[in-house]
Amino acid sequence: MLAAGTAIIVAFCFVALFAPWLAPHPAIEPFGENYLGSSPEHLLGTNDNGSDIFSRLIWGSRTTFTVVVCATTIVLAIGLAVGLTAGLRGGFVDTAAMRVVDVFLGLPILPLLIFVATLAGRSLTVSILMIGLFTWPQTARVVRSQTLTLRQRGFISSARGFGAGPWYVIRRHLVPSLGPVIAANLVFVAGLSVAIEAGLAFLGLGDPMAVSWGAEISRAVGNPQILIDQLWLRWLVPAGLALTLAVVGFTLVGVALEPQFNPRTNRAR
Amino acid sequence: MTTPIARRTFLKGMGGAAGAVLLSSCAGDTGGDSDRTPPGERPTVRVVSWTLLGFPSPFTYTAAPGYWRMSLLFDTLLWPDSTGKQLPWLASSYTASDDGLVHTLDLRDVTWDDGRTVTARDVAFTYEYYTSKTFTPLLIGVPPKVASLRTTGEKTVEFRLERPDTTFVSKVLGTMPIVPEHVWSTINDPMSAASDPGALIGTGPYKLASRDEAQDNEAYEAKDGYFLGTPYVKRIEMRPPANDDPLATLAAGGLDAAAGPPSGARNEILAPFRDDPKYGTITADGAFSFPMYFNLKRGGALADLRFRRACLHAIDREDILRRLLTGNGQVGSAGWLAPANPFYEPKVREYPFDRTEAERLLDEGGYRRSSPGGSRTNSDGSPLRYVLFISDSIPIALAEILNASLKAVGVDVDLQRIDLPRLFGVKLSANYDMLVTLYPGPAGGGPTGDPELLRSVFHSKPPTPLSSATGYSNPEVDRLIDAQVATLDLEERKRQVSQIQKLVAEDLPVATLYYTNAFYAFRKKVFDAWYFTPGGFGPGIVEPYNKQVYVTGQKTGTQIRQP
Repeated sequence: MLAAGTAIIVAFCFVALFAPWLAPHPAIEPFGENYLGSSPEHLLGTNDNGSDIFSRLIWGSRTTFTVVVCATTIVLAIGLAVGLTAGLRGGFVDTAAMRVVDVFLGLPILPLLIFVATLAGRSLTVSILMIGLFTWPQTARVVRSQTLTLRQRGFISSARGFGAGPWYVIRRHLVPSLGPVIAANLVFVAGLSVAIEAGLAFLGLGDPMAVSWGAEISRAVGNPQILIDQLWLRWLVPAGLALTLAVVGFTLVGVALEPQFNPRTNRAR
Repeated sequence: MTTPIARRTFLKGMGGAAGAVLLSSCAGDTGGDSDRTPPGERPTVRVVSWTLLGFPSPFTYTAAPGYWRMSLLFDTLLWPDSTGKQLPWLASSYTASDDGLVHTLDLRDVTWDDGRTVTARDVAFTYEYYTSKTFTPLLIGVPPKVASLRTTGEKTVEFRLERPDTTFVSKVLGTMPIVPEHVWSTINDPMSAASDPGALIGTGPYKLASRDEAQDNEAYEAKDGYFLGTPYVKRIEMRPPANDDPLATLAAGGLDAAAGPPSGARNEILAPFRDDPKYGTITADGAFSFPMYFNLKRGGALADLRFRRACLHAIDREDILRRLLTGNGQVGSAGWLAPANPFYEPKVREYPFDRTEAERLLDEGGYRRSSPGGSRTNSDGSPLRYVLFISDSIPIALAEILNASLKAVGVDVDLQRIDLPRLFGVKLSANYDMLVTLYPGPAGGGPTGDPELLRSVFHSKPPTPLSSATGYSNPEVDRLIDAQVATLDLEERKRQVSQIQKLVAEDLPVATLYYTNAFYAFRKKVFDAWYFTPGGFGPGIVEPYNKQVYVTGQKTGTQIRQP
């Protein structure tokens, strides 16, 4: 499971990073003949503006990759800061931070994202910020619980007893110990980011000019010609498959990693 | 004892069942010979319904589809047929004085649905009610205050105008639904009657048979005692299209008639209806348009004629029409009116695709490129960059072309695709730089309508800012718009309207990118008399739902066809 998931993610990252060399055509311009069928020149044909569908699929991975990297970075930053602070400080800070986390966890995320996206405007930056700002609580909670556990460990107490400051403890002991747990959690967040970005783009709430898999699905479904000449097979299905594959890849890795780092999962076994 | 089922067999069975369900849900009614209206019977037609049209009383409906639905229950004094000529409808006769100031109408002997007689007093009351109340902004067809009105007998009304008005007949006599005074005189707030069945007491040819607002389903039954005779179409059913695609729903048998999208359609979409003899099709050229608005109030390049002209020169509109619509449309005239409009002036300034000219105009305006092939800057060094709003009903392919075309000449646009209600909000509040939308929007009318529509776009004091060229003011254009509406001589009016088109084409405060054709397909065996009313019916509605055709079953006159 881990190997399969990792292979998918590595392939996805490779395609995203080397898109300019892998894509046979630019994503949008120049506009060629539209609605062309499959050919050696255009493996999946062309879309309603004459852009190469296969190339757009490759370029679309970049948008998804950008969203995943940026959103998980935001989640990592906020989740780590809130979780570590709550776990280390305890008391009122811990209680207040966890109540905020509870509030965020209780919010219905997709309707909320749609609401905010409608008000904030449609751009990739808005999508990234929204995903990052609304998906950090789970990470914060995991970090906080692990911090509470680690705080009781002998090596942390010893370090503190020898006069180590909180920053030293965090940098030297906590973050390295939390790393695998955070990694497993972030893999889930990454998968969620892919799905949310695609969902927002599908609903027309993403950047209208960005080339992304969700936007491709939305554009294909909204095209009145989608059922003519099997256009759906060349346009809709590949974008859907790419999206599904990416989410499955992240999920496989997340599921494979979780038992190794989640004590509750181990106990359940 | 149960027989074990092989996994492969089970999967095949499930796949087959799923396929069958999918196909049956897609197919619906096959629309075969069983759809034919039997000889001697009057047809039932199933047409598309819209959402959020409000209660179908004359003062609570919304938007153009709400008006035509309401027109089934209420009548106007005159009403147009397929020639565009206004026929006596509630009125039995209509005369106008030579100076165009006095309009006299005699009423037919007609009763309201509750049995009381329609009188001239009801007409006077209706006009007074319209002009004394405030209605929701989405109520269209509200008659302008252009007339005084008096009753000169039980059945005779006389409108006296302060000055001639070429739109009076269509905007007042042919649009204002007459309501019973004995019902509405007790209703101070029209919206308070938004669910009262008593508010639907009218004289119209149909009665509301059923209404399910949640499902957008409505049905209207013909009235046997209608004053012109029993309407030819027995029942009109309005239902939502599957997947928001009326033509596909028509093909699947769920509707008897359906329109193509106002944004236009390619031949591949229309061919199944054009090529199949069981369907009839009608087309109205240039019924809709895609104008690009520049907010002149914002100043800067937007108020610079060279910038606006350069933007239009930069866009290859012939290519857009070929690419998106396989030619089913026309390149926009800078004079706003479509070639199909009888008042269209072909000799206005044109802006053909010419990137060299666009670059020259921008260079001349002092908008220099920061580097060869790079973006341009204003003379003060700030980037030449504007937000371009487009509605999400506009194809994303068009948005890509606009973005690329302007970028090619060094103009950067930050494209914002928003839904129609927000776009209307942005336009009404003039909170935009540039904006592309589908005209005419929710209010009916269009580039083939009466040239008085130029007032709503180019007059410095437009009736509403929704379609107006924000910040545009040309006193000569204002004068001509005010003059043409009062000019009864048709040739003189054409000269004035021609001059307006030439002037606004020079000033280019709004650039019409292209026109699209309205397309309508229908099952001939069910009902075959559909037409587009020239200039629209009521407040300029383009769609072919003119009640004259439901009532008479024919394209002209008030004589009812025999089943």
